[in-house]
Amino acid sequence: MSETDAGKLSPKNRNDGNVGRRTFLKATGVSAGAAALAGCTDTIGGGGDGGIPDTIRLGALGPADSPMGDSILKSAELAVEEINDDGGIAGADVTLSTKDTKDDPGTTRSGYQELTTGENVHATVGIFGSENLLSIMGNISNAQTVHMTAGAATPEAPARVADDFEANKYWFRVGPVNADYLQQSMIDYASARFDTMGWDTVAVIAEDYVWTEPITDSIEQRLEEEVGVEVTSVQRIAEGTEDFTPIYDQLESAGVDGAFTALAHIGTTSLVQWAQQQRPFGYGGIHVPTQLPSFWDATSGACISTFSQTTATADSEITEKTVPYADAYAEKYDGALPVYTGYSAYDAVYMLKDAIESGESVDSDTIVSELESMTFTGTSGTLEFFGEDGDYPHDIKYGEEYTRGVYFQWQPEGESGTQSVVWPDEHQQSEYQAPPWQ
Amino acid sequence: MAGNTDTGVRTWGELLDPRSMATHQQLGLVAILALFVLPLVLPAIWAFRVAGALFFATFVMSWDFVSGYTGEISFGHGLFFGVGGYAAGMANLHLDVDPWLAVFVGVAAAGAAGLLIGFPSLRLQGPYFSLVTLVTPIILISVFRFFPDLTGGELGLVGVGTVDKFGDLLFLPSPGFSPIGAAYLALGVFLFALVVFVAVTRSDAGMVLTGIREDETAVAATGKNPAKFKLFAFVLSGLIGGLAGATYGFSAVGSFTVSELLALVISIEVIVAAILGGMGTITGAAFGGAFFYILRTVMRNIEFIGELYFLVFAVVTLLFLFFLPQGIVPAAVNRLFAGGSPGEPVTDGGSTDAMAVLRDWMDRLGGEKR
Repeated sequence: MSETDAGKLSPKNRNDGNVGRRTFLKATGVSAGAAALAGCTDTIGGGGDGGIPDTIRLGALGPADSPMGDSILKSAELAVEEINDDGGIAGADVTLSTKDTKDDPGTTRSGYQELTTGENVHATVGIFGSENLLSIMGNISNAQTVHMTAGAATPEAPARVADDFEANKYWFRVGPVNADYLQQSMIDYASARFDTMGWDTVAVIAEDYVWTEPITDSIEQRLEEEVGVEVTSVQRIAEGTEDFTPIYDQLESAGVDGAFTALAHIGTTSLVQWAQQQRPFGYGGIHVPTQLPSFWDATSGACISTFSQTTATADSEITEKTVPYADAYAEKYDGALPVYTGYSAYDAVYMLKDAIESGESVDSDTIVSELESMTFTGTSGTLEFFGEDGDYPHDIKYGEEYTRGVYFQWQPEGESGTQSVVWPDEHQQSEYQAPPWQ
Repeated sequence: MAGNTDTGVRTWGELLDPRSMATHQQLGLVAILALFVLPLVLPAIWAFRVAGALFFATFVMSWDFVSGYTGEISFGHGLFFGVGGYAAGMANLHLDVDPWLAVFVGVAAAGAAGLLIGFPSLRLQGPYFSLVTLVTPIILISVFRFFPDLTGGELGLVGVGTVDKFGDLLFLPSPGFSPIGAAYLALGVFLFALVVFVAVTRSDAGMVLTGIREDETAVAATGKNPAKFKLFAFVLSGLIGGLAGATYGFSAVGSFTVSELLALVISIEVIVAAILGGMGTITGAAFGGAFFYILRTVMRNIEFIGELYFLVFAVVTLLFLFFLPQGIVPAAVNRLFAGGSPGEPVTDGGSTDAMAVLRDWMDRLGGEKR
C-alpha cells in the first residue's frame, strides 16, 4: 500500500479530517450550516479541480478466514493496484485499508469504525454475511460514507434505504443480486432446465439463515405454478445439522428427482453426505461452498454433478472484463481463483473510481448521485442501481440485460473437475449431466 | 496508612485528600481524571476505543466482584450482560420504552438472573457450580433461537429493526451515535461500578466474601451466613453487569447481539482480563479489562500482526499469566510502591479508613450503635 510522498502531505492532511470532521459535527449537534462548511473543505484538494485530494483512501471488509471474505479483500487490493498502475483515480493515489470482520457483527462494526472514524476513508466495500451488513447499517448512515456491499444478499438493506432514504442513501449493493432475485433466479433456472434435466418432482432444502427467508417464503408455490413441477417439501435446515441421512431418506421415499438447495454456511456436509450415500436424486441450486474453484479437490470429487448459481466462473465470458479479471487474480495470488464476492468487490472499486472521476469529488453526496445515474460494465454484467423510488433503492438490478449470474455444474475433466456453465443459453458451455451413479 | 488500624478517625476531607493517599492511589486518581479529558483531546476513533474499554472493564469488575472475591468461578458471566442488554433492548424495541428507562428494565432483569444463578451457589460449589454457570448462557442462547421475532435470533436485535438511540443527555452529544457521548456514558457506568464495588469490597462484607473464598466453613463458624453473602454478591454483580450490558447495547460502540453480550468467548475473556489485572482486587480487574481491550484492539490494527493477532494476543496473555500470576496491579503495587493496599480489609478485627469515617458520621448523626 503506497502512501503519498512528502511533498503531497500538506494538502492531504487538510483532507484527512473529511469524514471524521463531518461525523463529529453531526454528532455534536453543530448547525447544518457549519456542517455544510465542513463539507466544503472536503473538496479542497491537491488536484486543483476543486474535488480530488492527493490520496483517495478506500476500505475493504470481509471475513479473512473464509474464501468469500478472502476474495473480497484480495479483489479490492487487485483493483487498487491496477488503478494506481494506471495513474490512480483522477490522478490521485489510492490506498486501501482492509479489516477482518471475523464474520461477527461486533468485529465488523469496530472494523467499520476504524475505517471511517479512524482512517477517514472515502468509501468502503465488502462485508459478506447479511447479519454483519445489517449490524452496521446505522453506522453507515452516521458515517455518511459510501458503502458498496459485496457478498450479502438480504433485501432488508434496500428496505432500510426505502424507509429513510436521506439517512441510508450511502449504502449500495454491487452483488450478489438480493435474495428476492435469487429466488427469481432459481425459478428462471428451473423453468429453463428442469425439463431437460428430468426434474419433475423436487424438494427444497434451505439453511435457516436470514438470507434464505425470502427464498423459502413462496418458492413452493412458484415452482408449482410457474415451472409446473411437484414440490414434496420445503425444509429449513438448522445451523449445526451434522447428519442429513434422515432428510435424504425422506426425500428418497418421496421419490424426488432433485434436491433444490439454498445453502451457504452449512452446504459442505450436506453435499458430501449426498455423494457418499449415492442418493438417487440430483443435487444443486444455490450452493455457495461448491462455488469455490478449489472445491473439487477439497471434496475429492464428491461435488461431481452438483450445480450452483454464482456470479461468474473463471472462464465464463459474462463481459469482456470477466476473464481478464480472473486471470489477473490468478496471476497475483499464485493461481488462486476468485469466488462470487470477488467479482463484486472488484467491480465496486472500479465503480467508485468512475463515480469520483465523473463527479470530480470525493464528497459522499456527490458519489451517491454519480452512482445512482451510472451504467457500468463490470466483470459480473451490466451494473445499474435502483433509484430512490425503485423496487430496491440502491440495490443492483437483476435481469438478462443487467446481471443475473450463471449456473454451472461440476463435471469431470481428466483427473480433476471443472465448473462448466449450464445456464443461461448465451454463456452455456455444456449440458447438465446426471450423477454417475444414477 | 496501609491496612491502618489506628483509632484516630479522620474526616472525609482528609480521607479524600489526594495528598494523603498512597502513590498508587494518586496514580489511579490521575488515570480517572485523564479518562475525563481523553475523549475530548484524542481522535474520535480513540473515543470509541475508550468507550469500549470502559464497558469491558465494567464487565470484568462485575465478574471479579463475585468470582474473584468468593472464589466461586463463574464461566458464564456473559449471562448478566446478555440478560441486561437484551431485556433493555427488547423493552425499547417491542414496548417502545425510552432507552434511558429501558436500561432500568435491563438492570432489574439482570438482578433477577443474579438471584437465579446465586441460588445454586448455595448448594453447589467448585466445578459443579462452574458447570451451572457455563451451561446457563448456552441455554439462553438456545432459547433466543426459538423466538427470533422477539430476540432477533442469531442476528441480535438489529435484525428486527433499529433500536432507538439515546436522545441528547445534558450538553453531551447522544451516546447513541457520537464517539464522545459513548465514551462519557461508558465512563459514568464505569465509575459508578468502581465506586460501588470498591465500597462494598472494602467494607466488612468484602472481608466476609474474601473469607468465604479462603474457608467457607470457618466463616460459617463465626456465625455469619455465607449463603446470604454469596447471594448478595451475585445479585449486585448481576445488577451492575446488566447496567453495563444495557448501556453498551444502546451506545454507539455496541449492539444487542449474541456474539457481543452472551457468547462464551465473552465470559472467558472477562476471566482472563480479571486474572491479568489482578483477581479479587476490583481495581486490578478494572485495569485488566481496559488493558485487555486496548491491547486486543491495537494488535488487531497492526499490519501483518493484524491477521495473526489472536495468536500473538494469546501468547502475550500467557506470558503475562506466567510471569505475573498475581496480576499486573497487585504486582505493580507490591514491587513499585512496596506497600499493601490501603483499602484492604484487615484481618485483626480492625477497620478500614472508610468504614471508620462512616461509623464516626453515624455516631454523630445520633448514633446508630453497632
